[in-house]
Amino acid sequence: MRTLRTTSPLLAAAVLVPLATAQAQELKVGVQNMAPYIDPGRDHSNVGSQQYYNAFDTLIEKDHARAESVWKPGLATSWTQTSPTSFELKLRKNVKFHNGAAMTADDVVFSIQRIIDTDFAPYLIRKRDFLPNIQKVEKADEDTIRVTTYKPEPLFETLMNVQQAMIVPRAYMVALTGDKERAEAGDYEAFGLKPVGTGPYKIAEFVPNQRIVYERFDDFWGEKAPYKRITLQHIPELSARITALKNGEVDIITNVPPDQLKTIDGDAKLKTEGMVTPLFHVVIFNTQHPKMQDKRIRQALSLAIDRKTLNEALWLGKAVVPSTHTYPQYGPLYMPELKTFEYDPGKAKQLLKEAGYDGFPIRFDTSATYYTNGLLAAQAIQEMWASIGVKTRLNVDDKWTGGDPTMMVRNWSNPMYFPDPAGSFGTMWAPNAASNTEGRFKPDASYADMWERFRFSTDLSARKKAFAELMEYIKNDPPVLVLYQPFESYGLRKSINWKPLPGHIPYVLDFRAGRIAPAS
Amino acid sequence: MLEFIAGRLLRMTVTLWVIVTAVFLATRATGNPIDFLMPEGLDAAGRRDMIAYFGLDRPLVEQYVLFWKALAQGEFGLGLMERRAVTTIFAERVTHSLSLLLATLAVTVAIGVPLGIMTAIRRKTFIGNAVLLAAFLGYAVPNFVLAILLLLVFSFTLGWLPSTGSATILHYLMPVAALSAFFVASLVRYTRNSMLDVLSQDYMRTARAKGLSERVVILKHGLKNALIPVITVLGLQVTTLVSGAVVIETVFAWHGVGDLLVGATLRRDYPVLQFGVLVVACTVVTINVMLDLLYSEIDPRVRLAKG
Repeated sequence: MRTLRTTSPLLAAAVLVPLATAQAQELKVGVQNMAPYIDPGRDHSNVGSQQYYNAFDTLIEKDHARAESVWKPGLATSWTQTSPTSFELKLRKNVKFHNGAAMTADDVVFSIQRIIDTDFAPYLIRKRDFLPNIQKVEKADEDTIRVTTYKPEPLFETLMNVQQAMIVPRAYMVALTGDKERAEAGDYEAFGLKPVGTGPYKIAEFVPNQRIVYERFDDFWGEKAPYKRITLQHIPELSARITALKNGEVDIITNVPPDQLKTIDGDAKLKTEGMVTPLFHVVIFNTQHPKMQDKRIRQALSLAIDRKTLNEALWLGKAVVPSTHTYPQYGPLYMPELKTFEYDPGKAKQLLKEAGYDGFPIRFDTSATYYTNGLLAAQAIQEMWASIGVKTRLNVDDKWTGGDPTMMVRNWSNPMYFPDPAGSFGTMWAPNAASNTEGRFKPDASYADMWERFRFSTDLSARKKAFAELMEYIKNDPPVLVLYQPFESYGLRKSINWKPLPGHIPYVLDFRAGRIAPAS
Repeated sequence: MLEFIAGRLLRMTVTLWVIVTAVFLATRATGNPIDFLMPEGLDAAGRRDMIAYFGLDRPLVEQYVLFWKALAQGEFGLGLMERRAVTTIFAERVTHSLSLLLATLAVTVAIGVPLGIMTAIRRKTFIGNAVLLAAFLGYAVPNFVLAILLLLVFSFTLGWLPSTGSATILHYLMPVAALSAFFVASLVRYTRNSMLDVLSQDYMRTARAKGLSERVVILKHGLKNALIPVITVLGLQVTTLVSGAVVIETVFAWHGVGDLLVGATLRRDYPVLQFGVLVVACTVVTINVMLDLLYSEIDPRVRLAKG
């Protein structure tokens, strides 16, 4: 039953093809979060990701109606691997930027080079997360780009599709401040306020943290945008968003928690759309804390959490409780058969006894509101741990405490930044990722070896085998428990045909042609 | 008079210095902005790079000196979150907030003072008592409760009024009503008490005995004297009004200064916060100084006593 329920939104999205092509005038969207700048290269937040896809393109495009990755030509029309570590991409002709300039090979080289070869801190951190294996990008000729990697790269298409590799105009960007010919930090900062891309909508107005106004870009290389104008309006308060929707001030609202679905569905003019999003809410353990070093303590804490009950109580059963770190978006690496996380309070009690747990209190850090239902889940977990005899002290603070050596347990969210285990599990638990460098997870050499085989094997079965080994390691010496994939809902007018698509990273608002059918 | 103003200005400067320094220290003592700006977490190297990029790795004393140097040159820096000049960020928000505050102030005075006089003169009447009861209610109901009630009735249920933003005059009705209720109520009560006080004074009897009309007695002799304490109270309440606006701006997604400062506090966005507090403090201090001046103008004894 559960599998059926999880796949049905995916199926529904897949059949959402024959949409009306009428071009409508204006769409208004009330969003909970609004980004402070618009530069896909420097951003990886859940806030920014919603807004880039309407205005920017990547070299390699993807069929977003499907969860698994099906690559399509984007700003590159074809690509080939020319050696184990090099790739060539043919660029699309007659592509224009929103400022009227034609896209050239120099723009493409610059776009990726600015991330991988930089001392600008905001780009540097994204390079480490996403493109550490890209060595250089060169112009082979006016229509061809050559990308060289350090190691053979099994995820080439995936990486050329990430938001951080979206294409921006070189000449426009470097001329924004200071020296008109050279790229400087000031140019990068200025671009975030006056962004220019190649997508179907240009950004006509951007007021940080307040609103974005997209306008149809008539020179777009692909199918023209369905709306003349789309306004994303920042309405942080939930009740204000719902009121604005009911009152007809906006057509779509984001971030509707499960307990408010009835309010919207009860209105004859409105409906809700939702999807389990490729993002996990997780509980992380500080494996290096003196009281937490015994892995049996962490195993016990993990085994004592009844995730099914959390799902029923907090998400009306609409979230997905996975058996391991996996989503359908992992495609061939989607492995629900692995059993990494289980509920077994009996075994938990036994392990605590063996570890000689003496009743010391566990500090559980959580922010008050950052994660939907985060505080409620923490309170429920406190009760679940109490039932196996563990004392928990909740520490509610909006501050990130992941690098604090006194942190014992906290909640976190683990989004899928690109559709591969390396783009979700890896961004947090790769040997050199945040969990290790912040000092709460110190895996041994065997783990590093598994990671290397998983990440860089060009043989798919070798990658699958290595990922299964990584999951076994996580099970035996847990730094994390995956709670669930939350169910993200939107409220909208019944007359508008739109829904979130499973082929996107979380929260993307895709208003391109074929993705939204305006009210007639 | 000059001496009086100079004294006030000196006090104002010291007050501002204390406030700005307190904000400088408080924003830095309660955590690193990076941990609030990027709640998704960063690897250790990334965190170090971002801290260095924002100049937060420098010693506190150096940061403090740099801060004053920049301030002396009129440089307030870029916001940590919105990467643009804090002055630009503020200029945009201030218009929204000021229009809300001024509208509220105007409504407060236009309704509060006449009602206060009326309840003082018509003490024992039904209408006077009804106004007083309404004033007690307005005084007791928190503004956010009133705001949400208004939203529920006029936007959510009836669909008559827009609920978010500040684009048209219609957008002002609910926020101004919610924000001014408390101040109208308190102004009614202050004006009434002050008026009652004045009404029983000897000079009022004298004025009536001179054969002046009741209108002139009340407005010229009564109101002018009754307004002195009312102005003081109004001045003190500007501060309360500013903090009340923070809540109202959030409820109606008004994008004003209050909303900005709350966000900046949560994120420890200290360039925005420092500048914002400086502006708010300057405004409040200036208003207080102006009220002092106005007060001394109405009542010369103040100038003599404090000068």
